Amino acid sequence: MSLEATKHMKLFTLKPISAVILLLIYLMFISSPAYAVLEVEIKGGFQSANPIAIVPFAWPRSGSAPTDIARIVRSDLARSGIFSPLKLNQLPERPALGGNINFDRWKNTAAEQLVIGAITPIGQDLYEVKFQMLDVFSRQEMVAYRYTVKKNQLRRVAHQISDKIYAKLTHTRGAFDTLIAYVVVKNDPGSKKRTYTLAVADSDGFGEQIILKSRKPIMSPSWSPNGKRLAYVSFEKDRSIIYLQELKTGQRKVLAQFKGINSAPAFSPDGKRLALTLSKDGNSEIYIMYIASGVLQRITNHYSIDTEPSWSSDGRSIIFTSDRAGKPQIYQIAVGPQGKAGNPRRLTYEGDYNSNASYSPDGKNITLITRVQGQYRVATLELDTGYLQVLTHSSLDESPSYAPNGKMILYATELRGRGILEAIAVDGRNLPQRLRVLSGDVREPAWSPYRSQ
Amino acid sequence: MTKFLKTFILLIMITPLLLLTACSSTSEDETNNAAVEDRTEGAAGTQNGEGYEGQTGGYNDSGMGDDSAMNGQSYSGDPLSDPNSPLSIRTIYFDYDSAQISTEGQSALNAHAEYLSLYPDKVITIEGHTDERGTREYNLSLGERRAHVVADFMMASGVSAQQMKVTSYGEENPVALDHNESAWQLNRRVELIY
Repeated sequence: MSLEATKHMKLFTLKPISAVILLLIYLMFISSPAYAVLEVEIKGGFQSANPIAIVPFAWPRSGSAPTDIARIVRSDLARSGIFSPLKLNQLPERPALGGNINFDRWKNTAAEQLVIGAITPIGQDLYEVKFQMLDVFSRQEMVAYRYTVKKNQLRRVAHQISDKIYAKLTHTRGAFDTLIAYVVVKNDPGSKKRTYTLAVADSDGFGEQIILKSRKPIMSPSWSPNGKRLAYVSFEKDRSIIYLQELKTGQRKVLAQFKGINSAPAFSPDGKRLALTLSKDGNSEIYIMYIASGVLQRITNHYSIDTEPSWSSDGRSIIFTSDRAGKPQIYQIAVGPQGKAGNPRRLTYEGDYNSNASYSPDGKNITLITRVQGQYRVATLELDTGYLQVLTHSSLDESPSYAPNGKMILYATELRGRGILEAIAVDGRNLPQRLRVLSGDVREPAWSPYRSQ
Repeated sequence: MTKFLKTFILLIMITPLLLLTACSSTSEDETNNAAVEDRTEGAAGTQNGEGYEGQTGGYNDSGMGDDSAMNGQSYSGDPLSDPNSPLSIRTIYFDYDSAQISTEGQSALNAHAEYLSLYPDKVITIEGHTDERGTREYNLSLGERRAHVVADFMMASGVSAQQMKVTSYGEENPVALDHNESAWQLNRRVELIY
């Protein structure tokens, strides 16, 4: 009887709560239509990942620090799939920087490294952030850094600390202190209208900034090598036009508005040229444009579709998609200061649909979309051996983009009818983070280059 | 012919049309809840693969799209606003990764070509679209290829190049938002916009 009563109680108490949640969701929908804000979902860690302890950073004042740096570092490291940071309740103590550390207690945890740090206010809107990573077994300091920053830079410092830790332990440069660009699309079923938003956020999805909003499609964001400009395609004039926009000032100019298609912009590694697709001469061909002068060099010449160019990091070759053999496949062509410097060579032979390829930063691999049994998946192709490795198991993958350290690939996919972004390690390890928007689809991720300090 | 007989014949002609429209709208509901434009009805008809039914299925399409018809103003005699004219078919559908025009598509395009040849002042936009599968930039080019194939077909049928503007949206402007074959079928299309 009493059991029955509690059951009813539970049901009864649940209802108003869910009503409140529904109301909140509703309010979010109607009150913030201007923002696309990414939502981060952590899918759970990995047994095989290396345990590491990140102690909450000390804060000398009452209340909490303006930014929980340790928390951001923990989530960065977990997101890499390589580390499995200890939970707060697994920490045996919270030692201070320069204080005593009871290493015997730490040896009883799974962690092999221990990170401790402090945030100290040192002036008007100025903070000093210090951290230190220690080896639990040798008790030696492995790395230590100090930063002096403003409040709005604390998140970025957290990502830089993650990069230092990652680099020390993996001998590879970290890519946490980077940005991602992406396009968000919202469908309004009532008015049958769509809103397209081009946005940039930190690599973990926080700190979103709107670059462009439009009622017409926005496509193909592409980073300049210095990370300060984006080229993209906008249909705001009812046809595809390539624009170049300064992120800081919002200033932009038209790069290409030729007759026909203007699409797939890709900066050369020196930032002076842009590879792009134009159909001004009849059908889609790859061109190189000198950005300052607007001078064009035609790279391909074929009646088939040639598009989706991507530069090698030495700037000496371009890979692109072409259906000159009947179905889309990836081709490579040598380029030089005079433009085309060789003939196209086919790179992909496995499968009847390979497209949207881009070089890994070291130039040894490319990532692409391949069709496997009717499913479109992210794959990598090892250029030396021709080995094609399919990395994902989904069916509508698009726009794979390497992290600047080449360790992860961010791509767009579809989950339960919604467009989301997922990351995967280049070894095929599934990464525990997924980015999506509250309402609408997020797609076309483009990972920024390394940021200057 | 007496007036009575005329009405009788008209009724006989209209009844299957009404039934068909009813049919196609149910199939639309089943296959695609998120349909956003009335074009889908025409498409549902085309899906049946019979040219004539495709045309009648397209009944609502141009008629509704055309303001004068919607406002119930007097019939101008322009075949463009005649819902029974093959000119009411303004959407041509394609197979996956293909730019080949079907027989149904060809007969509709022939009607448009004939009309445009008669009215050399009229200019249309030929807009190519694809489904969401595959990659975006490739699809933008594929949409343009479809639009060009349609424009070339019209040109071969006597339409002047100046009367046609070719453009592509690739996979960026779907009419059906689901992620399945019935939605994809509706999205692989070229639209003729007068």
